[in-house]
Amino acid sequence: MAQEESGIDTEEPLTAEQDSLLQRTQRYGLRVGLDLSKPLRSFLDDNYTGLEIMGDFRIKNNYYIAAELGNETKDSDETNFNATTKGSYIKAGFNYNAYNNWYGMSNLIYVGLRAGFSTFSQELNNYTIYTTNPYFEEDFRTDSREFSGLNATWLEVQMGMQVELFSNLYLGLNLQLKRMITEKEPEGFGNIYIPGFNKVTTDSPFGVGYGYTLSYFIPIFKR
Amino acid sequence: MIKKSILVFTLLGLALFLACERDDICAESTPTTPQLVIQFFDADNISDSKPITLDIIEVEKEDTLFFAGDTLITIPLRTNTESTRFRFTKNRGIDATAEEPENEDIITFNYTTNEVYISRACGFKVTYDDLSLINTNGADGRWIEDITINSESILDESTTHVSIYH
Repeated sequence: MAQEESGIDTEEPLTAEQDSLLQRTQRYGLRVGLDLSKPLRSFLDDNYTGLEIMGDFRIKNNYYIAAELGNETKDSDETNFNATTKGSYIKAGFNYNAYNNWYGMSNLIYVGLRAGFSTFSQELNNYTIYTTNPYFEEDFRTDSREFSGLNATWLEVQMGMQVELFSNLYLGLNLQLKRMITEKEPEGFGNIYIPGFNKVTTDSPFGVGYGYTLSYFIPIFKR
Repeated sequence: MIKKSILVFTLLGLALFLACERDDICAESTPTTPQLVIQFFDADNISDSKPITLDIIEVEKEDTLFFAGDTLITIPLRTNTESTRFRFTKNRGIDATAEEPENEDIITFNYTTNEVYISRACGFKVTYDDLSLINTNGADGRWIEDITINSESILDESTTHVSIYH
């Protein structure tokens, strides 16, 4: 009991009684963190600023409810126009941990499902009228227009891992595959980028993404 | 664990494929800003096409759009104004004693413009409505016997918008 109170792990052999007791002792709690890739990209890429906080909470042995909350601004410099997207998103769902940890470890290799929702605005900064005949000079227009009140919902599958670096500090990596469910498009323009969903591909409902997270686990109870 | 690994790699591969899919090149098959389609007919027998050798110059420009022996031509209209004025010169360089000598008529096309969003790769196009025209013959008289508008809306290049009889 003294060992448990001091919180120091031991490598001394355990008695059969202690062993069975400890094996059932799983830690439950809240993990909160930050997607490191977004501030890093904000620093490296002049056309992007973004921040995302994430969290999960273990509800059953292998199940965690999980959510991400973020805000992004993205300049899309396309061949024939330049537009800026600004907005926020929330993603909520769960993760299923498929990794069988050895005693004392609590790493995750998981599959997750999320429902995503984003509200955003797009500003068309400038554009050129596309013509096939170059006889006349380019019709370059700079009358900036804002399209606000846009939104989108999507479903997302995540695959990832969370590795405990130090006590309660986790480094995570995940890949995201998204499928658009609803999308409010601007009148006379299209959605180029959607915060949280990322790049919108013409004639395709799919989107992709990734995350590189640093998170801290706050133990709340054991079971 | 093997099954899971396969699933991971399949998803990863799919994600990469989707991320690399190109949609930043405007395909040639995509309808963009339409040009004006003009068809030439024989003034003596209006159901017959009649080929023409034609120089077209917009009045504010010096570059020539040249057509030799065509019965169907496409020319661009200005997208940033609601009027484009062209000099239509038939048989340039053919002297006045010939049967069909050089002759210049000036045609002004008036219209309204609509801006339409196409896609990420192509951006925006302009379509035209309410097409009307004015034919002014120069000092050399007119070579155009008759000119009619077949379609007041120019939405694509699949139909003839204007017919010229000569």
